[in-house]
Amino acid sequence: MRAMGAVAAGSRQHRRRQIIGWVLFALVVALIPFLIAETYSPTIFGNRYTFGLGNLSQAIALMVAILGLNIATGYSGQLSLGHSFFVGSGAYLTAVLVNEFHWSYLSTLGVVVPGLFVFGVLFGIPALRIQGLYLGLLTFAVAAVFPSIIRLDEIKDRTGGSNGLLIESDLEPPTWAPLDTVTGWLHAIPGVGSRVPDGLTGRQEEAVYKYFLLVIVALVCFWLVRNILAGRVGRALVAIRDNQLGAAANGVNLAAYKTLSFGISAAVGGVAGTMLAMHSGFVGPDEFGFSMAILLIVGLIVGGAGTLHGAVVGGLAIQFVPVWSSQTQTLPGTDVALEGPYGTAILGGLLIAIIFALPGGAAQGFRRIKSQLMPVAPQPPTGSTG
Amino acid sequence: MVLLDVTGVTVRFGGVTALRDLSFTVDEGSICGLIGPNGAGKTTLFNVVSRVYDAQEGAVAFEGADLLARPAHAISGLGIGRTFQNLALWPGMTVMQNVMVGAHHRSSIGALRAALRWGSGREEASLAQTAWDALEELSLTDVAFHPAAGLPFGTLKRVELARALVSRPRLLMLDEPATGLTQTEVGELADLLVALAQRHSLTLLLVEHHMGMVMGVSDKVVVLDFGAKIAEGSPAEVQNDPAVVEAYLGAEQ
Repeated sequence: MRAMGAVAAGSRQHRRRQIIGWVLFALVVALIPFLIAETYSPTIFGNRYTFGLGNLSQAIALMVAILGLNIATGYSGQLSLGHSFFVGSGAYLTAVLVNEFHWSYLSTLGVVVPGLFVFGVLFGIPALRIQGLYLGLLTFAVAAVFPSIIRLDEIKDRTGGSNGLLIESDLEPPTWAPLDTVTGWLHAIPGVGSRVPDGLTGRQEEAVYKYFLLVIVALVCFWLVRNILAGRVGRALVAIRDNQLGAAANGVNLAAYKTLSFGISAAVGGVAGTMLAMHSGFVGPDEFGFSMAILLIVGLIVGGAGTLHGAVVGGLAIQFVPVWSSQTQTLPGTDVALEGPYGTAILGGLLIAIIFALPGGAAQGFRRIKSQLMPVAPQPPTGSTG
Repeated sequence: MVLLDVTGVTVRFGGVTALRDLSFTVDEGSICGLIGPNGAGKTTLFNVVSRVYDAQEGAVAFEGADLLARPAHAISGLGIGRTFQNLALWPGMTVMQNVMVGAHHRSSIGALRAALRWGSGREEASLAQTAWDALEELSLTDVAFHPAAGLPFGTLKRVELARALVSRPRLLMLDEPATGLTQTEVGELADLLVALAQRHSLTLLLVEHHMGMVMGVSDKVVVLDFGAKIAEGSPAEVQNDPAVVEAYLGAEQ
């Protein structure tokens, strides 16, 4: 019945719909930094909330971190509470390479990606013997120990110890980037244009430029990971998650794929670390402790484990929900003041609500709505007769 | 020619001996029934052949190659497929995707090539075609894009059969394929299995409680009781064997 208005997958109509979707997505991604270059701060029910470019860029880096975690935990079912370790390692590697060897941010990825892949593979070896909560506990210990490793006396001079490291490189937009000009054009559009400032300050221009760099890195990561997970390797990982006995009996090498999933997961996590270093120009040991590990798991569950869209929603959620929660100074619509760390409490409440209402996370909800409004009928392979 | 050669296999779990000095052979192209009361060790033997359990003693040879020296994931590549008594499907994937995994060992695109889309599109299309053909052969195309959960047990059993078929096995081990089927359906399944065996030149090793079916299709029947072989022979011989009648059939009649 539901297939009535459905378009056939791969048909002209379906492709047109996909293209429209991507164009809209590109428009939003391209325009939003100009709209919030001057932080948007509406007052809702007596509380002032901010929606700024800095937070959004940070959220994009967190999306990539969750994307990485998703490979090991969401797809292949290996509970990893130590993902912050990889993100932190990536961030510190980038910081040290930029500071001491004067590499550019993006070229550090040439070390971060292979380095963290090897790291992840080593990390995955215990996962061959232990599973579930025990693996979670072990990886959690690794996450908890990261700040102490950074503070070790032997490497304190390199890592900056407790003080962290200020990265001695700015991401100046190249002179050819027409960010200021584009802002001027947008400002000239009647009506909506008034939301865009008339030209960007130097700092705003840098923020917009960084945002676009992070978006490009994130898009490349999502594209590569999607390609891996959409095919044979992705199916093998899900097979391991859903039934190991069946996976092995069908020729899936459990040990190889589990370590591979940890390797890719860590490499992507490392990229997220590089992105965070790019974003803030600073790395500190406590940013990458176990609270980040837990936050990433929360993002994974809220967004939807085992889906790529979920990583996007999850990254936005773990960045903005705590910020907006702490900006809720009074009970909405009243003068009753709120005190205490209720930002995390709201995040916790959201997690519980999501698990009850949508066990598959926000991505599951989107998929349900989409399959109702715009159903797509999958088609048999083209070579078949039926 | 002997395809599967089980020699003196003993499996113990702590103090329990699940298989005791079990020996039998399966000829290429034949259908071999493996029967016995619950707990006789039939599924244990499947798990030894597919390397889920280790045998403490004995040997298993497939075309002369020592199976017990291979890891579990290499078994399907050697040409041994199986289905499971209580299903080992992946509910997170569609029926089609489940069946495509069956061809895992016949495909080769790894993470790096997939990431860069280096030949993955072509392989993916050919895997999809293989899976679709198997679904067509087993009349499963209606549920191809349905998740492999929430479907009738008999349908899911057929999905497992399709998954095993796309691995292009020479030996197919079926663990109680007729469970949950009606009398008519059992008859259809028996015909289907014989047809499949001929079409794909399969050798079948069949664990089944449905006596009519086992006796009807098998060339040879091996009877287990408490982990030991108590009889072996043609269906007619086995049915008249006093030990079998006493241990197994006697209880049913």
